[in-house]
Parts: sequence; C-alpha cells; structure tokens
Amino acid sequence: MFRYVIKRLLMMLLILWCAGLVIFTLTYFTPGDVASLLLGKEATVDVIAQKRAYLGLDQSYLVQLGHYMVNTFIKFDFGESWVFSSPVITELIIRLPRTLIIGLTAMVLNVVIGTLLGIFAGTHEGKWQDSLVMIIAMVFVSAPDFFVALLLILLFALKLQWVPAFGIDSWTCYILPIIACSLGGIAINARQARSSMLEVIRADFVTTARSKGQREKVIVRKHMLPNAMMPIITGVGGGLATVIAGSPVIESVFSIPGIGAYLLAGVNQHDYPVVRACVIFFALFASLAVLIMDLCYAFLDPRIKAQYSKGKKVK
Amino acid sequence: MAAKTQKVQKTNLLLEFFYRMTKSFSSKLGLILLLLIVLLCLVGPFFSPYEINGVDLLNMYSGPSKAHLLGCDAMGRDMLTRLMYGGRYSLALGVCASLFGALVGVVIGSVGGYFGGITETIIMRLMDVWSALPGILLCILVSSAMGSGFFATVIALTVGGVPGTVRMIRGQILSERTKEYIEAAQSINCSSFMIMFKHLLPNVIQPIIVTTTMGIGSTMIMAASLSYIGLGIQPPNPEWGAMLSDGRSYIRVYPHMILVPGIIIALTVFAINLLGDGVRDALDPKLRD
Amino acid sequence: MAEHNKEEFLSVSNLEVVYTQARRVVHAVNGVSFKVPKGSTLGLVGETGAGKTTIAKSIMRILPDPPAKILQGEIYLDGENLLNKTENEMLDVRGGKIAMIFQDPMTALNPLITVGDQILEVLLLHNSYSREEGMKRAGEMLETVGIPAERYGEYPHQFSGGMKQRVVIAMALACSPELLLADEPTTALDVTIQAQVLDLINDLKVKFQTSMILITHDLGVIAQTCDNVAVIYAGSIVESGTKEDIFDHPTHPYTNGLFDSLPSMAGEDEMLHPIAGMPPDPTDLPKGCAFSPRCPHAVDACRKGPVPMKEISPGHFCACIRKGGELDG
Repeated sequence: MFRYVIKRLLMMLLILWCAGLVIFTLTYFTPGDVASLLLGKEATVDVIAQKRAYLGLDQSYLVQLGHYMVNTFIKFDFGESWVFSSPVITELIIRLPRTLIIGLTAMVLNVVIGTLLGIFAGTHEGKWQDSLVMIIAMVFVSAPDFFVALLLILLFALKLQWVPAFGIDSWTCYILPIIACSLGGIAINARQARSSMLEVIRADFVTTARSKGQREKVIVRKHMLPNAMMPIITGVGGGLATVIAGSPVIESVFSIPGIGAYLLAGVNQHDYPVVRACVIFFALFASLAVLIMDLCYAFLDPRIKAQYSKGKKVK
Repeated sequence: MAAKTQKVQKTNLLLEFFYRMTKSFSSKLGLILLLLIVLLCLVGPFFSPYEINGVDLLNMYSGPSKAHLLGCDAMGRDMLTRLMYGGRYSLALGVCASLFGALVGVVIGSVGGYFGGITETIIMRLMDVWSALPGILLCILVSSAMGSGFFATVIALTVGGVPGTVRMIRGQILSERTKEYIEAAQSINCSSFMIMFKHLLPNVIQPIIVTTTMGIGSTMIMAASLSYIGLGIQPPNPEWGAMLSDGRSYIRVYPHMILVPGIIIALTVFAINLLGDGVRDALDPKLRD
Repeated sequence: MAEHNKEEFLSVSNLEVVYTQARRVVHAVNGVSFKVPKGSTLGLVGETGAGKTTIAKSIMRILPDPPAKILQGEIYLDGENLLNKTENEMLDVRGGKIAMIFQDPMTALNPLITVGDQILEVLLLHNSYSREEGMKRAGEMLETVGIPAERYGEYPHQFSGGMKQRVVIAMALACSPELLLADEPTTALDVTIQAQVLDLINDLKVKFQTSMILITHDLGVIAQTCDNVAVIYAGSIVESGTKEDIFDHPTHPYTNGLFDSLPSMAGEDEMLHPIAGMPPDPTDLPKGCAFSPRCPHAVDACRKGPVPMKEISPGHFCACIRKGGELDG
C-alpha cells in the first residue's frame, strides 16, 4: 500500500510537470504581442521593447521555458503578476479559502443529498416518487449552472432580498454560490445513486440476506447501501475537481474574488504568470483529490485493496 | 436465400431499436421537443420580419409583446429572431464538437486498446497528463489561446472530452479483446484489420453512441458557459450563452433578457438528455427480451 | 398428530405463481402439490425455466413482489400455513426453520463483508448469542464445511467458487434449519468439486437431521442424494414418486425423454436422443397437457383439457392419460 502511494505521488509530480509544460507552451504561442497589449495603444516602440526585455519575453522559447520550469518546480516561485506587479503566490493564498469553501461545501451537498435522493428514488422504482425525483434531476442536469445561478440571484437576492447577490462581505454571500454549484451535481449523483441502487436491489446477495431472515431496513442499510455507494465514492474525486474547475464561471456570476476569477482575469488581461500559477493549482488540486479518493476507495472495498497490495499473496 | 434472411435480420435490429426508442414516453417527448427546436432554428429565421442585428431604438428593453413575441434586448433587437439564429450556432457547436471528440477518442482509444503493449502505455500516460486539468478549464485555456472563431471553439470544446472517451473505448476493447469470438475470428485467419472493424468496433460502439448523444447536451452547456465568460463565439453573433451574457447587466430590471436564452438552452439540453436516456435504454442488451 | 406431522412435515398444495411483466402474464408455477416427510430429501427435476426456483422462493416467501405474485395455494410447514404468516413472523422462519442454498456462489455473498461476519449475521438473528459466542460458533461452522476457522476475516473474493459454496452452505446450516432448500447447489461448480459439495450436503443433512428439497436438472445428482423425486415441466409436476419409481419405471413421456437424452456409456448407440422441440411459452401455455406439442405419443385427448395425476402404483403418480404399461410397447 505504501509503495503504491509513493508511486502515485511520483506519477502526480510528473503530471504536474507536464501540465506546466503544456500551459507555458499554450500561453507562449497565444497570438498577440503581450508587452504592447499590457502597455496599451499609446506606448512607444522603445517602451514596449524595454518592457519585453524586462519580462524576459525577448529570449527564445526554450530559454523562457527553462526559466519557468526551474522557477516553478524547483524554487516554487510563481513570479509576479504582469499587470499588478504583486507576487502571484500571496494573491493565490488569499483567494484559496473562498474557492475551497464553495467547492468543498457544494461537493459534500452533492454526495449526501444526491445519494439520499437516488436511494429514495431507487427504492420506490416505478412509483410516482421515483418519477418526480428523476424528472427534477433531469431538469437540473440540463440547466447550465450559471443560468441556475442567475435565477437564484433573481429570486432570492433581488426579489426576496434574503441574501446578497454579489461579493463576499458576509457569510450569507456564500449561500447562493454553494447552492448554484451543487444543484447540478446533486442531480447527477442522484441519477448515479439510483441506477447503482437498482443494480444492488436485484443482487443475489440481497436475496441471501433476505433468506437469512434479516429485516428489510437492515438489508438496505447493511447490504444495499455500502455496495451502492461504491460507484459514487469513485466519482467524488473527479467530481470535486470538476466543481473547483467550474469556479471561473460561478465566481464570475457572483463576483467572488476566488481563484477561478483570478484565472479568468489573467486570461482576459494576458497576465500569464497568473494564468500559469492558477492552472498549476487546479492541476495539483485535481490530482490530489483523485488520489485521496482512490485511497479511500481502496480502504473501503476489499477487492480493490487486494489489487493494490499485489506484493502480498492474494488468492 | 441465405443472403435474404440475413438482410431481414439486420433491418429487424434497426427497427427494433426505433421501436424501443419510441416505446418510452420520455424519449418520445425528447425527440419531438428536439425536432421542434431544430426546425425552429433552421426554418424560423426565414419567416422573421426582423434583421438579426437590426437595431430598433424605440423598442430597447421592451418585454414580450405581439410584435416581438419574446421581447427585445438592450439594442432593441428582436429576441426570438436572435434566438433562432443563435440556436444554429449552439446546436452546431454541440453536435460538431461531440462528434469530433468521439471520432478522435475512438481513433486513439482503439489504437491503444487493440495494439496494447508500449503503444497502449504511452497513450494512456498521455491521457493521464491530458486529463490532469478538468475539461472546462482546458476548454477555457484553449479557447483563449485559439481565439473566437467557430472552428476554434469546436476544438476548444473537443479537447476536454477526449481523455474520457479514450479511456472508455480502451476499457471496452480490453474487455472485448479477451472474449472468445475474437479468438474464434483469429482462429479462422481474420486479418487484424478485419477483426478491428468487423468484430471489435461494432461491439464497442454502443456505449460510445450513448455517451456521444448525452455529450451533445453537456457540450452545449460548456459552449454557453464559454460565451458567458466572454470566450468562444463573440457578440454580435447571437450564440445563446452570449445572449445570456448580454442580458446579465440588466437582470434587475429586464429579467426576460436572461430568462429567454437560459430557458431555451435548458430546454434543448433537457430534450437531448431525454433522448440520450432513451438511446441508452434501447441499446442496453440487459433490457432486451 | 405427531405421526401425521412427521409424514407431512412440509406440504405444498395447489401452489400457483405468476410473474407480470409489461402486461404479459408468465405462468411460472401452475397448481403444484407435493409433500416432504421429516428427514427425507425431495428432488425437483426439470429444465431451466420450469419454475423450480420459484417454488423454493415461494416457500421462503422471498419472491420479488412485484412482479411475482402467489395466486393461490397452501404451504404447510409443521402444521402452520406459511402463506398466512405476517412478514414479521416470516423473519423468524427464514434462516431459522428454513434455509436456502443458492445456485451461484459467486454472487450470493456480499463482497464487502467478511465471510465470517456473513455467517455471524444469521447466527445473531436466530440465537441469543453474544457477539463473541456467535463468532466462535461461526468459526465452528466454517470448520464443519472444511474451511479453517482462521479464514473468518477474509472476504469472498479471496475464496474459490467451491469454497464460496461451502461458505453459503455453512451459512444455511448455521442455525440447524429443519428444512433446507438447495437450489442447484452444484451447477456453477466444477465437476470434481460437485461431488465434494454433494457429499458435504449429504453428511450435514444426516448430522443435523434436516429435510431437504434439492432442485436440479441433473439426474445424476438426484440419484446420489434424493429419496423422492418430482419431475416438473412448464410449472406443473408431471410425475412424482420414490427415486426407485422414477429411475426404474419412468412413466411420463417427458421423464422418459429426460432419461433418453442422457449419454449412455453401456449401449453401442453413440447418438444422443434429445427431446424434440422447445419448452412452451410460459405466457401462452397449451390448454391441455403442456408437454403434448413435443410428445411423440400425444393424441387429441391430450390437447383438449388438463390431464389429472393418476396413481400408477402406491406413491407413484403420473399426469399422463395413457396407462403406465403402454409405454414400453
């Protein structure tokens, strides 16, 4: 198990490395001269050339790439924003909690509420409760999250004035973004939970449990639930990564100064150190989330655990 | 005689697929809804009395009325007309990007899955790197690097989904490759090309059809998200997400400007998803009698 | 009374079960009656889909409802009609008085729970053991079926098919049930393991004095284990009697067909003799004898109406309009 974790961590490092390479190349070859874009239309040729030299943009691709990779992955220096001349890392640390609060809370809601709804629907298969839950889930799977977010603002912030529509002035500001972030995920998880529940309901070991004289409630809790949860747990890591990756859109709707908004600002202003740092953060977060969830999965499912510890005798 | 019986069998399979598709109420509803929307977007603009970018200063922000069924936007442009034009972009983006993504995924995935060995290892490691960034993020980055054209947006939308398709195809091929009908084909000296296309692909293709159909919906949402944050298709082209983005400044006073494009996106994706569920159920061999 | 109960320890009469699937009604079991005396073994033989498993699940009352429904019939166990019991009362019967062994050991065990704990579950449900006592007893049960008690904490995926079936058997016998329903216990196993598992079931049956219904399509298994045999075709019993009755004097054309389709080692004949045709569509059973479309001896009278069971010799019943003797000619 330990060796497996080490192997996965090394793999992760390699992937981050490649992500750095890709994002640098992508931003390097983006059309448009960055220095003149940064300085605006009035800048003279000389000033632009100076700026270019100052940013190191006059060097060849390989030299720039080398600098970037060494700074990022060996010195852990993400550089300064080209627009604000402030260190990117400080800004990232300030913004991180805002993005994480929304993402993590939304993910918890996704899994808990989604699973409960899915089980509820699965155990009422074919009845009106099932149809109702599945129709609502289908609506929220189909609605873009930023549109749901705008509707939430329209209803709860503007019409009812229960919560603020924008900003991060108080904790109530986080309510709408979290709901907007989670509704789609809840719907997806509910659909997934329902179908795996239906599979488990028909499983032979459930019949076995019934033939033991076990109560139906205990069968649901002890035999059906853990088995039905497995595919949902597998999806948590990827789901969390997706929720966090959706932060540029949600943060732009609610004007939340999180990492997603930072990335988007960087993209729009050609502030490439910001873009690169944000991308590395997202890649790191995504791989960590998937790794942790894989480990949990291995811990919960004896069959997977056996696969990971192949060194030991497994029969 | 033998050839004739075979032909009858094949049409039966296809017929059965359609029969099973239309048997369920929800996939019928999805199909009808989608056909209506597509028809509206293709034919509708020819019957509209308004220009797509025809500015009408007298009707700025006006709500739904007899003349403008869905109201006008901030420049007095007719929302319905723009919606129908914009639908062409949105639908085309969704369909093109999904099909293109599926094609790329199938090619890479089947090469990896069939040849195995080093080819497969390299491809799968590449996919690990590729999918280190979640789809929507890659989409944002590629779109910003490639610009706002239709083709550039299709590429941006495709990029995020490829690793998933590749993994799925490879998994499918891996499990099919060891099955006995492949061994049987090899034992009668089928070439690997024949095995690949005549035996393997038809057996692997069903889940791809399902995911691609479902994928059209989520791709359309992604395209709309891109336009919403100012990338992808740009104004004044009336892509649905871009229309939503236009309207958000006026959300407080003229909510119809976001409601109209938002609802049509949701409705279209809803129809596609219903259809996707129907396709999945119709192709599911477990449900076949 | 006690004597009467011993003869009719389990008595199933006129059981009728249907499945409703998308407006089609599948007649799975059509008026089946049989008795199992205390301590004896009844073999239910028939093709796949003949309704054998449905009968066993009806006795356990674990048929999925919907789609399955018991339309009529009585199932008396020790003088009590199981079909009149409430769900709560059935909980004590299942796993305690009646236990079941399932066809496919690969899927019959919960993959996320250790085999020991799965045996423990049934023990704790029907006994007032503490957890420690229960675990000790579960370990003993594992030993009884030939698995070292040390493997208590292992998961089903760590066992081979034959070993899993042993676990299932240990689970079924854990509470010394009075009636054991074995649903094709050896079908999913290798031939070499089959014999071991059958011997094990036989030994344990004697040890725990259990009555048993053994469901199978394998006449060899019947010969090895059963006292009485009932042959089932399309949801009805077509012939029943002692093992000797059925093996030495098969009377119904279907029973004869079953024996004929066995490969024979003794004769010079190298051809197999399968029964022509297919089992009838259970949604659309023939009006008369269900076997008549495939029967080489069928006459018009067979197709007109139901054919009643007739006693050919004491205890040997057959549902065929022809007399037993005529068959040989």
